[in-house]
Amino acid sequence: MRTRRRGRCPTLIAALAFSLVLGGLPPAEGLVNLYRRKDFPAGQSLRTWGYLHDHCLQLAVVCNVGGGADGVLRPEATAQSIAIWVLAALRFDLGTSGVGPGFTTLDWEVGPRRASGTNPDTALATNPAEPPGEPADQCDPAAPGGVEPEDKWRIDIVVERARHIEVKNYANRSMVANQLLCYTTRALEKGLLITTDGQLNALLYAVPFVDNLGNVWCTWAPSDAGHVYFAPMAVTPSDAAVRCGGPVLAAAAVTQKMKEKVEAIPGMDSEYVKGKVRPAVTPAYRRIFRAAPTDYVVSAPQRPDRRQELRFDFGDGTSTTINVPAGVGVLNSTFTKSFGSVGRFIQRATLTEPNVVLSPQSEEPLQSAQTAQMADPLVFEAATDVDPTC
Amino acid sequence: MPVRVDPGLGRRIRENPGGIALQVQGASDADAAADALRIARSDISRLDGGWESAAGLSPGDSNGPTYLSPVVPSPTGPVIYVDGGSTPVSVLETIPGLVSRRLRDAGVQEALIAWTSDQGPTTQTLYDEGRRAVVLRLYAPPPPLVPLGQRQPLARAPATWYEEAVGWVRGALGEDELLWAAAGPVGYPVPVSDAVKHFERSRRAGSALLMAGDMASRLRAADTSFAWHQTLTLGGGGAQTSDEDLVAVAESLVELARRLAPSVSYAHIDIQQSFHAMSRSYMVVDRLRPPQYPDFDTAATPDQVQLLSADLVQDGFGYQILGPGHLGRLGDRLSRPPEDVRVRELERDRIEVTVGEIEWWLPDHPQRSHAQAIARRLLAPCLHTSSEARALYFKKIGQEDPSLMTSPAPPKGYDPDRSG
Repeated sequence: MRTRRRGRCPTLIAALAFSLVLGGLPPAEGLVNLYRRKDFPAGQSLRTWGYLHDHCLQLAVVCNVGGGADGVLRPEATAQSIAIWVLAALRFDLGTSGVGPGFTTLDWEVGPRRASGTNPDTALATNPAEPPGEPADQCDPAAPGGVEPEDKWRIDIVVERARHIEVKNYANRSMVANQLLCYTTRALEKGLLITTDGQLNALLYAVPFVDNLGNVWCTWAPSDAGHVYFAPMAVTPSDAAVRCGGPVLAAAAVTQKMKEKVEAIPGMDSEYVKGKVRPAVTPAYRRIFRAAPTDYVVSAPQRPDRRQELRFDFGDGTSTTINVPAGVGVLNSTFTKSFGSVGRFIQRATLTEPNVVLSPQSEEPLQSAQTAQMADPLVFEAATDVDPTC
Repeated sequence: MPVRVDPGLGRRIRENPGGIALQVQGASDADAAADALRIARSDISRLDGGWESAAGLSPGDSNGPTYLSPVVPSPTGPVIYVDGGSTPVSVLETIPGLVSRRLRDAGVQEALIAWTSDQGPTTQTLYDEGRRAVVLRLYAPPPPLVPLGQRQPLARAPATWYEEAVGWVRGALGEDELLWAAAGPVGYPVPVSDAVKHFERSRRAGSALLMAGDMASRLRAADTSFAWHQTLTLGGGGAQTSDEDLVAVAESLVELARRLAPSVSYAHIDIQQSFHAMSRSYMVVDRLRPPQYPDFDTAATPDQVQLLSADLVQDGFGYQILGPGHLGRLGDRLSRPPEDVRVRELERDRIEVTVGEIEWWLPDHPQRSHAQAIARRLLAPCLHTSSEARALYFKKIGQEDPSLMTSPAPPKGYDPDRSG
């Protein structure tokens, strides 16, 4: 049974929004290295963890070369860290402590351990003769002259030692399928069955982040199992851009207004007290403990020149749309949702122009990324106040 | 002209270290260049920035590329794709030099080492721009599963698959139009007479694509992968294709599927809004995570179904061909099929199951969700969750799933009070 320590419970999304949008924060002082190298427990000789700096893995800063707040952005490492963080949050109630060593069902940078004492210059292995008629696989170890490449593949993320995810620049997406298949093939030879993970895809995962220069990026899971992409918002496909961009604007005003009533399961998650009001901002995971009505209060900033629509996606396949008329104030809307099942869902609010159809399974052009409304990141300073009940 | 490196290559590597797509163009000896690139691939695999070049590493760890593709042949020159991972860019920038040295060693007199140049459409183009698609996916019988730790034999589809695929794709060729092929990130035209060979030649690339027609109204494509599970996927349609034309495409694919039925373990046809549905990892979201699934579990993912295609199905579709393994799971469900379901026996114990009329499966048809619900109910014994599929795999190989072993203790020396 897991319990959480009191005083460490700013919500997932409060931390996400704060960290991702204000990514240029200086690294916190006194952080220890939580992510020590460890061996992959189920494999014969695999190693895991490392390669990602603590500060970016904890989403304290976007990932930069050198690990500090300044420097050259590593967008892939940032997207990888966000995915790890969200996968962790789906399983554990993470506070500021982030991902710790007790967290053994999520691994990253999983690959073969380098043979001790191997000298790269003399490690040329003889390529065993290919069986007659046996084609090469996706990893194609064969090379002329008896020179075989070193076995140095590494998988971006492995969930529960069983399923994997490749985080890739959207521009390189055509290579992901073969890459994942190569990893599966190699892992199988090491004694592990690792197939693609579908959870982030099922949750329509999409999270924006902002680099040190103020450029907005989006990282999302498409309709392909095991794939997670990232791209500058300007070249993000429109449906993912809506999922990534909408929440930024909506969350700015929604953060402290949205409420949820969470029913506690006795003996578990003791901070969840019946009737207690907690904030939840999009995109956020949300635990639904039982099929009971849940209240939401959502606020959206009006635009003086046009009508908007606020779409709230409950994450269970249902959504509601609220009309936000033109104006200069903030529209408050209250609604109740009855969930048909228990589970964990990523919920999101999306503020769009009228007549924009949100179709998560379609790559149809919906609205250009350039016209997607983005919030001023500074708004999040005000939006990340921690729920006082924590 | 000697072996040269494109002056812009270093910048492209710096900008995109996770997806370096390097090509040897205009080589004086194409075969020697491909062999040289294969040897250079081994050199690249040994690149190492050292354990201190990335966070969280220890002595003995290396920091090099995380993935190297096979050397992909193409008429414009062999290609290799490198995921540099966390390798320092300064180390990755040495890759062109390594390739250059191997080319010279192989006696290649002239060549240009450059970023891949776009010659034609690729799978990316097809998935992004192709709209309204009828998609047939054929699954080759999976090879015998071997115990963990052993090399899994590869599936191999019969040559007739490729002949049928080429014949069908050619149906979209207009006068004076080109047949396009792609292997990895490179697309190029191929003569019709070479199309079948394209599939065979692409084995080392891991996948192969062939397409013809235009994006608007008569697009046809065939995509295959070469692995220990193999599928051949055919897609036809186009953005402006009428519903009637989509139905006609579906009917032609039904005929093709019936011809190949004896050699498939499983096949299905669906109609989707996008050619993205041809992707071998594609899954509709409502199938991935139905409300009744427990936390953290999803439907069996496409690669799991490909591995177990003799037993499982991906989803309930309007049209599917099932084999003896499926029928064993379905029991007598097909002997008294529900309303709107038609069952037909095919050769070699294959069964064709059709739900509703083909037009019901058009993306916006009002009967689509009804038909899908029927198909999913009917095929429920073959629709597994990801964890159920995993359990089935381990049952088949007679081993315990190592991922279910007890979690290890936290690393030695970890102090939770210092966790920030």
